[in-house]
Amino acid sequence: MSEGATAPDTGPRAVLQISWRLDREQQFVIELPQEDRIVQTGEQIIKACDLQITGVLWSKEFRAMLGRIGEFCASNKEHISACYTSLRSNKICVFFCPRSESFDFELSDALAEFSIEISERYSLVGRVHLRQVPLWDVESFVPSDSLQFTGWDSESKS
Amino acid sequence: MTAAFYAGVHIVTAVLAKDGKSVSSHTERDAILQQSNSYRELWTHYYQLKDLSLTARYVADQKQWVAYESIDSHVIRRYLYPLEKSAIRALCIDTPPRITLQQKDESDPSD
Repeated sequence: MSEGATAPDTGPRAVLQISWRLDREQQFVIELPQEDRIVQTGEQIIKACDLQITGVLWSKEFRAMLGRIGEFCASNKEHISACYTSLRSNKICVFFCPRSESFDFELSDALAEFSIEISERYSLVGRVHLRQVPLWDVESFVPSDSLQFTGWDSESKS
Repeated sequence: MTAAFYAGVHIVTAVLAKDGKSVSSHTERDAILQQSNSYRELWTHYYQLKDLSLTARYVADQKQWVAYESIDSHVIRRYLYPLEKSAIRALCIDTPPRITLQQKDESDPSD
């Protein structure tokens, strides 16, 4: 930030620029809403902004991916009975329960293709693991804090 | 199914090694296969073997999830052989002999 760029107490503010190259080690006093003040270096501010922007983008892409998974469920509803997602420390798991009691080989073919689409379209989300698990043993595979996809099947009671 | 999956792991690892890609975990292997168009055919079959194997290992009733009769017709012929075929093309090697599955004789004392 340019030398002596102290902000006036009132009135319109000019755009202040923090440069990684010039201000990385510069200290900035930040006034918080409750009149608290914190001191941060330019590097800390830039990294925080970067993290926040990445988080917003991740969240946007994650929501888009959930929407696409819902569409996939709807277009394969003759094969899918229920669908859940669970966030793990290093990946996102999506569990598809077939309508059949046994492993659905046709659904598996569709999931293989879909896994490629997901990895290509939503790369920012990170690793996504699509799995087919039996509804009759769902507790063995789907963590209790998982989210269930609903609304894609008009017959769904959830 | 687990044996078929690990055969698949070796097949895929061999193809990746030929291409100069060394992997040390399932995560790394999956990432390379998924992210490259040239491995799409391998991934399609390998993914299904992995999914089947992971669930079959822990499911309460394996026979209910995958019937014995469908292991040969589906798991081996539908996933493992095509995976092997893709790898053979990639590795430029001769076709190995086919695996034959037989029902285990219950009275066989050599078990």
